Amino acid sequence: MIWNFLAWSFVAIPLLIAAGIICAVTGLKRKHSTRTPFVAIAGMATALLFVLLSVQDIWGGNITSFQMNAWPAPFGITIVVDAFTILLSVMITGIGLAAAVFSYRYIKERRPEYYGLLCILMAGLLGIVHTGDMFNLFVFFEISNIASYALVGYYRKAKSAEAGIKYLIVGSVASSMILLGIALLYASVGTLNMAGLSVALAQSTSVIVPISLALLISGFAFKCGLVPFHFWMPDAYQGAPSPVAAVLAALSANAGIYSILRVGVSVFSSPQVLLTTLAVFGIASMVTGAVLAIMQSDLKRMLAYSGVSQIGYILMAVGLGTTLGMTGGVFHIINHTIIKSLLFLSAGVIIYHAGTSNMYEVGKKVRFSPAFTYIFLVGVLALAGIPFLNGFASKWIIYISTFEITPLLTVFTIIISVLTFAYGIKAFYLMFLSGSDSAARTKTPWSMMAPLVVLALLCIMIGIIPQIGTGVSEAISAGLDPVVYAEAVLG
Amino acid sequence: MLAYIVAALLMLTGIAVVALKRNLIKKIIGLSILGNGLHLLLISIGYRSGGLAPIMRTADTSAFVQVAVDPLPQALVLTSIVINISVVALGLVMTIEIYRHFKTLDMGKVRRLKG
Repeated sequence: MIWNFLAWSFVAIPLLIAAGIICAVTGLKRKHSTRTPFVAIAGMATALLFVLLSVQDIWGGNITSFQMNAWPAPFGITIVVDAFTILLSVMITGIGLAAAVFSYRYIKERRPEYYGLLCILMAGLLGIVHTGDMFNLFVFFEISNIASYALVGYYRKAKSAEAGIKYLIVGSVASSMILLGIALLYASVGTLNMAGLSVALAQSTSVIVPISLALLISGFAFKCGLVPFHFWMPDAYQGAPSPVAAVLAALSANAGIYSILRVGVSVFSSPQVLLTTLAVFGIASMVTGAVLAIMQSDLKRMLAYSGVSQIGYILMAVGLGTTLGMTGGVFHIINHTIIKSLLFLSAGVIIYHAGTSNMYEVGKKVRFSPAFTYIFLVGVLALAGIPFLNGFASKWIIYISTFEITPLLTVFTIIISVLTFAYGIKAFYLMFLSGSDSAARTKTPWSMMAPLVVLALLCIMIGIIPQIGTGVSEAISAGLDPVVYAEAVLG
Repeated sequence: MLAYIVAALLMLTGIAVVALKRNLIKKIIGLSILGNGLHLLLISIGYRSGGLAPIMRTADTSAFVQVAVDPLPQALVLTSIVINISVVALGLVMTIEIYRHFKTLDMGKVRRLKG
């Protein structure tokens, strides 16, 4: 067996699946079910350690790959680890850990499946970013999808059940589109290895190939909520428990963006029509998300629409087709993940105390501690792109890259940022400033505050030293290049 | 050729049922039909009339490849069937939950999420 020791992060996948199964088994006996959170947290912490083991080898732009069970490339499944994989793996395991710690006090009804499903969702997402095979990508997509359907419907209440079933129907149709795209790709080219595909597609003139690209990109766009496919997001996130919504909005959407970039850029060598489509739908997402977010009265729906808008920023920047645009887009993925998970976990704290996510009612019911107020303010301001917070650093690169194309687009992008600021401040004002003094002061448990503090500090740190993010983003956008990718995998 | 036409018809039927029928159970049946159409398409891609089952009995690989059907789509379909079954099972469990809360399976009436 060929075992490449650079690819330690891959070990996290079977580890998390094992942790998930152990969680489910220990939870079967009621007297053990108090231990399942610790199994999941230990599993995720170990997974994070394994991912961190491979950081220093991969970070500089190395790409390493190996074959599962040492079957040669067209038959065996290829695992590819590059800077993008490692970056997303760090975020998946890190924010997954934060969500699991947060859930310890937040999820009051302890049923065994919650932590098990969370571990398996993490494993599915890690699989998506590690695999180098189209069908394997589909399988991991479905693993993460099925886990998230069950997690969205976790509270067995009317709203959760509705959110879960809507997400299940839409998500299954989306994955059927991905599978159809893969079938057509196999019919026209005859391989499913991503590196092999990128070589074969360069010579292919088949008319089926653009159709399969369109199907694949639409399927992935469902997962990240690009505009014509965004309608399921607010429903799913409103019905889901807040830590699950944080994981879905931050990590699951990332997996969709990753697949669009990997398949669109590395496999199909970014045809101009794809870039234009991404830019146009990205701009549409930015507008639709921001405008609908202002109109919401429910905090989680507002955050969901805000996610649509921010994902629009990322894909618009990628669609510009310049190196700077790609760097800005990738950097915004990092920042959006941190900010959106911070805000959704904060929404969890708010629901924990107020019992509702309707912004107009929250302010009347509770007064929050100063520490939590500042943390929420950091999240809102970072989302709007205020200087010295991380959102600004990546949005600045996006502004510059749009300026190179046309200044009109820059003005437009800044207007959307102003809208982002508007709905952020609206939420902050309604929930934190308009409260009555008679409302009870709240005390948040430590296990819920600690993840928030870490995420808020990350926002400030990347905002003050943006070089951390820009260097990584440049290495990642270089590694997405189809020639570099194919050479690294095929050797 | 016939298999491709049937596969396309099955997929279109599935999509139409998911999109147009309001009954939740019919929607899930639609998902199942859509999946089966996809499986038929995948199998037909690897099919060769009169081909051998892809089990290697001789050492001569190149001659074997000329007569055997393509095993890869079959492996994909097996995996995909398992995935489809789990989605349908989960969907039916959630349908029970929906019926318990809403006393209806009409998705047009299942709308309490708004803001």
